[in-house]
Amino acid sequence: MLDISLQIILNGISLGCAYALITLGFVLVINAIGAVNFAQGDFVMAGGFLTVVLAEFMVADNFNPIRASGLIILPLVLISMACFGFLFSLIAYKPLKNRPPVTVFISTIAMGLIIQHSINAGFGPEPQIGPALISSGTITIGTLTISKQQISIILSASFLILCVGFLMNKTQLGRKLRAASQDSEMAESIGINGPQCISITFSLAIALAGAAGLLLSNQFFVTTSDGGLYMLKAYIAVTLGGWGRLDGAVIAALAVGLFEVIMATLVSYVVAEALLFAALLLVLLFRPSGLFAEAIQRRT
Amino acid sequence: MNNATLIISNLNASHKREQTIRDIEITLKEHQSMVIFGATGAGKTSLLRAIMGLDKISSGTIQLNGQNFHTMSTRQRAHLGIGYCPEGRRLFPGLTVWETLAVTFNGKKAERDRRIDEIFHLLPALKIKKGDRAWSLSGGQQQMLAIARATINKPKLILLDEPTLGLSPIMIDEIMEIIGSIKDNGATILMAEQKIEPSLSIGDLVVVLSRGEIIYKGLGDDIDPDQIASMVMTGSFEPIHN
Repeated sequence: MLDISLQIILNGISLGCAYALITLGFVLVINAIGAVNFAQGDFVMAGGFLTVVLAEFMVADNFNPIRASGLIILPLVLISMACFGFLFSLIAYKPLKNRPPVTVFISTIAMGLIIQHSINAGFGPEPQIGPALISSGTITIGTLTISKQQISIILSASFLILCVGFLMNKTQLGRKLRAASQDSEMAESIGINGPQCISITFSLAIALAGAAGLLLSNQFFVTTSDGGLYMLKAYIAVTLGGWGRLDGAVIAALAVGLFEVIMATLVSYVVAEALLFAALLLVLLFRPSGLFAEAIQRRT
Repeated sequence: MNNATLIISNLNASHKREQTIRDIEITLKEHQSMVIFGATGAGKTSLLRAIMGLDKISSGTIQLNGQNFHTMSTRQRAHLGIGYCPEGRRLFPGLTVWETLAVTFNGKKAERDRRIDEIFHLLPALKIKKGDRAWSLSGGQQQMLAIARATINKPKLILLDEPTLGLSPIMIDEIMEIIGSIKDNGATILMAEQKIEPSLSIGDLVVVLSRGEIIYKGLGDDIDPDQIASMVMTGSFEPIHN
């Protein structure tokens, strides 16, 4: 019984870790431009497909002796998706930056649909499977059997989350990104390049989405219609965590993953989804600023 | 060449399509300080925003040490050597005191740490709070941080927009003392203020604005606070004849 409980918790944490990467990127963009990037979920799906393509490419005949493993592909996915993110900011955000936020979020919806349909045209609607991060199989510790894939998802996602935390809090670039997201006009007044910060933020956010796509592509497969669901999960996590809070978003995403897996195991996946949205409604009703909202005030 | 730090000629600017300042002519020499007075809406903030490149300049020129910069972006103006302390402080609420100073500083890490230490030596109240986020500071501490942010790069020109706004009388004296010490260190300061008496000790020169136009320009020693108050209230200059 204990083994099963631990296994369920590990499943939940690994799913939550992948959600945390998606949500982190989602919050970074909200903070930077004050608008939601509705294509974030589609970039998770695109990252999954990119992983599938790179894995096939790497095991192609006589090309590379290294068998495709997710961990080797991960840096390639991060770099490629960061480049897509930069391009995405130039196409979907930059020309519209002086328009109301609603224009930007419509533009991101449109871009998300373009990505989804383009990939659908190339791969079709069938689910694809990505490589395991290290290898499939299990580790046995005493009576406990743990999936290697889940452990490696947790470790990889945690490493990426820590890297983002380090970047945002301990480096000059991170401080610039935060300053520009909090007051872009004032950031320009102290010499920070605001548009460049926004493009870097998009790159970072979409690289994280791509990494999440890679992590999820083995256990959960990847289909072109996945984007909307991931987007909703990120939206729920951001609402629970408090809009704009990076730490709150990570904790809430982990909670969403755990809740989903536990409820799906105990009851059913459909009920888990319904209860998740019910929990969201309750939070919106009783604590609209989120469970971890900080009482930021400006004194005068 | 004129050795003036700042020369503003025939400057007209607008905010959200509404003209806010008209035909402004100002010359401020190196190490001089000028205080701009005026009622709310007179154009003080607009003038500083136009200098900083935040409001659109429709005509006129602005020079700093002979270099025209009115066509430059706000970011370029900051790198040129203009430090800006805006109305309402506009701190980055989620950044700590130390982070605010660190993100503003342009230079190497060792130099940055030395400069931050200098600031903490001058403003010990900030040193105590160096790990606190800007939003959690008191009004006076926030103002000190906003001034420190505007001066950390030792700019050629410092723009201060109502630095005493919303502060207690004791805190106003403290902030004016800080600005006075910055001035004594040779800074060139252009300060917009509503509080006349404490600001006169700062201003070598005084300008009074009304409806976006200069109605008085002269030496700070040549005018008394009551005359300035009268100009601010009436929006016109009537010389007092003894």
